[in-house]
Parts: sequence; C-alpha cells; structure tokens
Amino acid sequence: MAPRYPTIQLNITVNDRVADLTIQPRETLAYVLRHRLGLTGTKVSCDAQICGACTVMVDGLPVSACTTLAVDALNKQVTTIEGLVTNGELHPLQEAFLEHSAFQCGFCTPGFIVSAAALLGQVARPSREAILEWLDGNICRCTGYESIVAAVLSVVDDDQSAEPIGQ
Amino acid sequence: MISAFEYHRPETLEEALQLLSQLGDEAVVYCGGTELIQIAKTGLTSFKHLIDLKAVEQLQGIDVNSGTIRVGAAVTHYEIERSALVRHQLESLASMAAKIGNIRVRCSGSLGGNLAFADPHSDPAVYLLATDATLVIVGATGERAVSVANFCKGAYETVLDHDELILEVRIPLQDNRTSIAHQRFTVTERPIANVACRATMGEGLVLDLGLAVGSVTDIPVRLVEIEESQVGRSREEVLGNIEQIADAASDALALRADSMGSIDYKRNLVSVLTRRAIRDLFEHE
Repeated sequence: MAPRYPTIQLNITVNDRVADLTIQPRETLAYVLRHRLGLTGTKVSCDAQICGACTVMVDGLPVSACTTLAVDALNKQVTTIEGLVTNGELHPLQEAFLEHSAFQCGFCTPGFIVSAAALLGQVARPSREAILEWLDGNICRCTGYESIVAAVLSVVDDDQSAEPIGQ
Repeated sequence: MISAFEYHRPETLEEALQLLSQLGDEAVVYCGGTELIQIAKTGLTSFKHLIDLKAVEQLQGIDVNSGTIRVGAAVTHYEIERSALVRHQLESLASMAAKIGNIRVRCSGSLGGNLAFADPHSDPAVYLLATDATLVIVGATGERAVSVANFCKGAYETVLDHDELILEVRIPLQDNRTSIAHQRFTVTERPIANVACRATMGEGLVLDLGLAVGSVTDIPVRLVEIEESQVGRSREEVLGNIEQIADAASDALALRADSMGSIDYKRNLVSVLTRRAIRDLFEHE
C-alpha cells in the first residue's frame, strides 16, 4: 500500500485565473506552475535561486519559483511570463526584447522579462543604474546583457506619461 | 524532492509558540525559506512539520520608539530597503539591506531568518554587531533581550532554544554626530568579507567607534582594541592611522582558507574593506 503523504488545499490566482488544487505542501511553486498548471514558460535552471530563470511575481514582487513553496502563494496573485500577454497582445517588454534581439537560446528570457516587469511595477522610471541593480540576479549565457538592458530601457523611455527618471 | 511534511500557518504569536512546544523537534519555522527550503531541496535537512510564520502579525512591521528602531523578525530585506521610515531614520540600514543577495532573495528573505540561520556570510549580522543592536527573543517562558554579540555562537549556531523565535530586532538610533558605513565584497551573492563601522564625533574628535568584520570567521567580530585605540583622535589622525588600522583588522582575526578564498586573499579583503569603511566615515564631514 502506497504511503499517504500530507496534502493541502491550495487556492491561488495565477495570471488572473483562480486555481483550486490539492497538492503536497512540499511542492515548489515552479513544480505546481509547470506540472500541475501546464505553465511551462517558467524555467528551472540552477534550481538554487541564483540564475533567475524561474522568476515569477507573487503580488507583484519577483521570487524564485524553484525555492518558493506553492503554499507561499496561498491567496496571492501569481504572475508568470504567460500572464504578461493580454488578449493575445505582447507586453511592451516582450516587444522590446524582440526588437532589440535581447535573447538567443531564450532560456533565461522569461525570467528576465518577468523580473523587468516587476521592476516597472515598483519603480516608475528606473534609471539604467537601477535596472542593472535589479537585474543583477538574472544570468544570461548568450547575449552579454547589453541588448537586454537596451530593451528594458527602451520601454522606460517610451513611457512618456511617467515622471522623470528616478531611483 | 523535499521530504514530506505537514504545513502549519499560525495567525498569532501564541499559536506559533504553542505549535512549537507541541511539535518539538519535529517542527521547524520559516518565513522566506531562502535558506531552509534550499537545504530541504538538497536533502541536507528534513522536517515532519513546517511552521510558516508570515501570518503572525507581531513579527511584522517597522517602527520607531524611544530612540530605537524596531524591525519585526519577519520583515523582508526588500521592505527594509524601501521603507521610508528606515531611509529617513537609519539610511545605512536600508542601503545594507539593498545589497543582500539578489532582488528575489530580498523580496522573500527576512531579517530574522538571516540571523536565525546564522550563515557566517551575512550582511545583517556584521551591521547589527557594529551598531549594538539587540534581538528580542520569545519563547514559552516569555521574552528576553539578547545583544547581537551574544546571540551568535558559531556557524549556523545561535542561542535560540528549539521552542524560541526571534520577535524583533532593535537598533539604537543615533543623532547626526554618528555615521555608519558598510562595505562588502563578493563575486557571487554571499559576502566573502564585510566590514561595518559606526563613528560618533564630538568637536572633531572620535567619541565612540564600532568596528566589526564579518563573513571571514564563524561569527562576526567586534575589533574592540582598534576601536579603543582611535577614541579621542581627530579625523586627520584616524586617516593618518588608516594603514595601521587596516593591518590590525586583518591581523586580529583567525582566518581559515576555504572555497571562498585563501587566508591571504581574505586578509587582503578585510584590509581593503576596513580602509574603505574608515574613508567613508572620516573623509567626509
């Protein structure tokens, strides 16, 4: 007879859709997103919170989904890369990444875009300095980062409605 | 995969302490889990019960009271970094918090968690040691206050009993005669070495000095002899002594070679960071 493991009822909102799941508390957010919800845009790379490929937003703040328990998203809003697309339209950051060729293999890309989206949610018009500091925790092996920073900056510069550049 | 456990989410401090008493050795507590969940994933630790402290109100919040800034144990490094109150009252605390790990670690990781885990490579520990901070610990038998100096016992070792929690961190506020510097060096995310220095000046002379070095020994260390040697000196004298101070700092520590660097490498880092911290404080008015 298979051992019975403890389970828990998890109610989370992912990309504005409510999910009611029965999971084991030990399941990570990355596992639940990828394997239970089929949202494979979030990648697991280092599995140690260092590379940022698994970045998702929980209530607007970036977290490493690989090292966050799914239960930590209980009653919270989770936003993955898939959630940045609205009515089939790409997010300005996604458009900018395309325009600036800010990816090659693409594996780090969802993490970078979600991280950058979180930054723009927290700081109205981040300076280049602020962008570099915020994205310091995301690793890319392909691009050399310049195109990524240029892409994010282009979105900041395009947003004429916000206040002048600040921290 | 992480070993199976039961998850608990107490909503009050009393509930949390009760759970800890009931479950004893089989339970561990967490907030951000940036350390605990990581070592659970690699199988370095396992627990039958996990107590999530994030819903406990008493562990949250930042406020100022009678010349002390109080930071709840569950407050994240990011919250500290962005707090208008902290930036106004103790800016150096915010700028230290802003350097920890990476943005994701800062958004999840808590101040209490960092101190309780007691990884030798810690920015908060060395900063709080230099600033004479106190931890308020709470357990079944009540509250007790412990200085950061007495809280840290060794690598991954603190004075916390199994059924105790850190409630909050209290840092004495200083007037504008005091300035604080925090210098750190890393090539990854955990500091290889860090130095925190607090200087209080009066009529151009050093009234009080706190100098702590962290991450190169099991627990951060206050360099009391160096501190005492500079009290009563003028800015110019301290700056004139800077090489001796920097050398004395690296000489004062029993360093060990490890994956973070050789003894010489760490000695050099301590020396350079001490020099930078002293310059930060003494070169500008």
